[in-house]
Amino acid sequence: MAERWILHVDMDAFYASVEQRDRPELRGKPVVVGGDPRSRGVVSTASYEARAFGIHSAMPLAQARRLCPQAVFLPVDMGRYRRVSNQLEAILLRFTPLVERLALDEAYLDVTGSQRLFGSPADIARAIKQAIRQELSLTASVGVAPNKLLAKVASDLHKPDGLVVVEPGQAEAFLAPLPVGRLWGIGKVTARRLAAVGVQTVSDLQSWPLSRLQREFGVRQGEELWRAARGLDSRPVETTDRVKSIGREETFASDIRDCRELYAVWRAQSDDVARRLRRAGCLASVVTIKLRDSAFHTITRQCTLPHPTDVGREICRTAQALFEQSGWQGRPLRLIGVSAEGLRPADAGRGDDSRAGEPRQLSLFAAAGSAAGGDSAAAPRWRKVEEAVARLQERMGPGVVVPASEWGQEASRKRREFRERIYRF
Amino acid sequence: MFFRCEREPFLQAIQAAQRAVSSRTTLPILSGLLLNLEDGTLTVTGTDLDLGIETQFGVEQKEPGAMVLDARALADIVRRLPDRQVELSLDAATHLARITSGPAHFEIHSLDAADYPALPDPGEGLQWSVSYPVLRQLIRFTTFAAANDDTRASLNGALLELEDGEAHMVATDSYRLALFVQPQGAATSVKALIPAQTLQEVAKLLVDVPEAQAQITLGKSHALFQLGSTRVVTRLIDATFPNYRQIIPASFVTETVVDRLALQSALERASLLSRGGAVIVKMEISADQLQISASVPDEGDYREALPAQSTGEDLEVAFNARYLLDALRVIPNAAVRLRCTGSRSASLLMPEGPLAGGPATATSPAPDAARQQGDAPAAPEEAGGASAESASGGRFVYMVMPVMYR
Repeated sequence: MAERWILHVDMDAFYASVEQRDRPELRGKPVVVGGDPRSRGVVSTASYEARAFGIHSAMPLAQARRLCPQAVFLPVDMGRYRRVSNQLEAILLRFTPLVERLALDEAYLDVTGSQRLFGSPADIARAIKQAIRQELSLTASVGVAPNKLLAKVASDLHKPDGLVVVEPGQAEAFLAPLPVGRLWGIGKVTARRLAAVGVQTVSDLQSWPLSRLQREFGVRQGEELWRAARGLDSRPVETTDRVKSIGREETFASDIRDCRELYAVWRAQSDDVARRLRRAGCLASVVTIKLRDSAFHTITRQCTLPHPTDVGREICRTAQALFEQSGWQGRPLRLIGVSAEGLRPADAGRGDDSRAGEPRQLSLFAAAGSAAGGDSAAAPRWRKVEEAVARLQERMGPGVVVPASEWGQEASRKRREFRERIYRF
Repeated sequence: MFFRCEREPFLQAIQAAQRAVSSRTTLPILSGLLLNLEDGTLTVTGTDLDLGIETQFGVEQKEPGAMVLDARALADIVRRLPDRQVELSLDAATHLARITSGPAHFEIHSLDAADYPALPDPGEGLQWSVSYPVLRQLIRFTTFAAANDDTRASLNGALLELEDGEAHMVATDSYRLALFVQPQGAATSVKALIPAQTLQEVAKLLVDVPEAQAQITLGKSHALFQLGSTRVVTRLIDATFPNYRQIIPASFVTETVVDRLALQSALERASLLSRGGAVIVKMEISADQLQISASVPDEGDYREALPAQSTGEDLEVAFNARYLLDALRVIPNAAVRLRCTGSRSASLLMPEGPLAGGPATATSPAPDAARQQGDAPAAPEEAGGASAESASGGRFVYMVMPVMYR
C-alpha cells in the first residue's frame, strides 16, 4: 500500500478560546466553560490559564471553583462553537476533501493526494495552522504522521500551538518514551491492567512479544496492543457525508427542455466538478446526476466508472449517458446537477499526470481516439487539456476558451468535426 | 379463458418467457407474463420492452381468452403443483385466475391483457438460417468479452456481420476482444449490434437438437430469433461498433505455445491473491518457459514457471488475469498460442491448431470429426496462419491489451 499522510488537527482549548477571542476582557484570565459552578455540571473546557490551577475537562464544576474561585465560569454556547467549527471545516476542506470530523474541535485529514498542490505534509500542517490563526484568530495543534494513531498522539505532544511530524520508520522510537495511556485503544482499565504487570511506558509494551500479550489480554486485544505499541494503524480517514461527494447543481430561471442547452450545462458542471477533484487531489469512481422537472419530481441516477477519474470530459460523458437512460429527455427541467462520489486520493504524483506505480490497463482503441465511445486511455491527455483551459480561464476570464460545440447556436457537423480535430492533440 | 394442459411444458414455457422479465421494472404490468389462448395454442410472453420472449404450445382449450399473471408467482406455483395436469381459468368479473391441479386450488389476481405491450415487429429484414450448435458457438466464444457498462452502449453488444458467405461475431469491452468466424454465413451482407445479454439468453434456449435450425431475422431496429416454437425479439443497439478489423495485429515479436490447462490453472492460482479484485500477472516469455508472477500489495506474491515453446524475442508483458482466463475457459484445445506484439500493444490468444471439439463447446458440429480432433495431438499450425480452423471451419481469435506499469 502506498504511503499515507494523515493530519490530526486539534483546536487548543476550543470552547474557552472562542470565548476569550470574542470577549477580549477574558483574555489572560482563567476561563471555565461548563455552566454555573453551583450546578452539578462538569467542566467542558478550561482555558490554559485555568488549567494551571489543576482544572481539567470532565471535572465537577464545584471542584473547579474550589481550585480557582476567581475563574470566570461561562455557560456552553454550543451554537457559536458550531459556527466556528464549520468555519474550521471549510478551511480544512481547502486542503483535501478527505476530512473526518471527530468533534467540533478536532479532525483527521488524509493529505496523501494533496502534496502536489500544497507541498509536504508538514507544509500543509503549517498552512492550516496559519489559516486558522489568521482567519479564526485561534490556535490549533497538528500531528502529522503516516496513520491516525500516530497523528493523534503527535498532535497532543506539544500543545498548545504545536506541530509534530512523525516520519515513517520512526514510529516505535517516537512512541517508546510515552506512557501507554496515550495510545489509542488504551483506556483507564487497560492501562491499570498493564501497570499491574509492570508496563508503564510504550517502550515496556514494545518489549512484550505478541504471544505473551495475547496470553495475557486475549487474542484480539493482545494483537491490538502489539500493533498500537508499534504505531501500526490502517484505519482510513472516513469522510463525513458532506465531503463524500463533490457536486454542482443549477436551478434554471426558466425550465429547459432543449437537450443541447442541457448538455452545455452538464459540460460546465462536469468541468467544475473535475477542477475541484483535481484541486483536492482526488479521483471519483461514481457519477450521480440529479434531475428535477417542472412539477418538482426529482430523480437521481448513478453509475460506477470503469476507472476512477478527475477528468471533466469523462464525468460529462457519464452524466449525459445517465441522462439519456433516465427517460427524462424532452421533459422541461428546472434543475439538473452532477456529482462525483466514491472519492479516493489520487496517489501523490511526482511529475505531470502520472499516478506513479499504478498499473494501467491499456485500451485497444487508444490509437483510434474515442472510437469506442469514450475512452479512459485518452484521459491523461484530457486532464492536461482541462488543466490548461482552467489556467487560461483563471487568468483571462471564463469566456476565453469555450467548447466549439457551444460556440454560436448552430453546431453544424463541420464544426463538430473541427472540435474533434483540435481537441485531439 | 379456460384450458387444461400438462404441467411440464407449461412450466418450461413460463421459464423461457420469464427470462425476458426484468426484476427491476417500473411498470407493474411488465413483471407479469401474458397468457394468450387461441385455436388450442397457448402463447406465453414476457418482455422488458428491450427484449421479448414468446413461446407456444398446444393445450386442451375450453374457452379462448387472455390474461397477465405475475411471472414469479406463476412460476413458483406451477413448479410446485402436485399433479401432472393443470387447469387454469379466468373469472372475467373478478379478474381472479383459478389454477387447479389435483387436490390443489389457487386463486390469484390477474392483470388486464389489453394493457400488455405488443412485442415489436422486426419488419422486413435479412433472413439467416443457422444450426443451433453453430449459433451457440458464436455466442459462447464472444459475448463474455462484451462490456456491461451503461455508459458505453456500443460495447454492450456483440456485432454480427454476415458477408462473403461468412458469419463473424465479435464483442469487446475495449480492453479485450473476442472474434468468432463461421464459414456458414449468408450470401448477402448485413451487420447488427445485438445486446450481449440477449444473446446469452438465446444460448440458454438452444436445447440440444443437433438438426435444429434457428431462423434469424435482422431488421432495422430489431432482430427476431425463431427457435422452434419460441420467438425472441430484441432491440438492436443503435450505436457504432468500433472498427475492430484494423486493430487486429498481423505481425508479432514473440510467440509462445503452452499447455492450456496448465496456463489456466496457474492463472487461477494467481487470482487467489485477490478476493474478487483484479490480479495483474506478469509474464516473462523466454525460449523454453513462461514465467508467471503476481504481486498484490498487502496480500502477497505468487510465482510459477510453465514449460513453453517460444519463438522471437524474450518479452515481459503484464495482463489482467481475468481477461486471459475468460478466453482459456472457452478454448477446448490442449494447447494455446500466445502471440505478442510488445509489452504495450495487443496480444493474440488462440487455440493451438484447429479449434477442437470438446467439453468447452458442448455441441460440436460433427461428432466424428470432434473425436478425430480429440485423439490427434495438437497439429502444428501451417506457417503464417493467424488463427485456428475447426472441423466445422470455426475460427476463434482473442485479442487482449496488456497492463502497463509506469
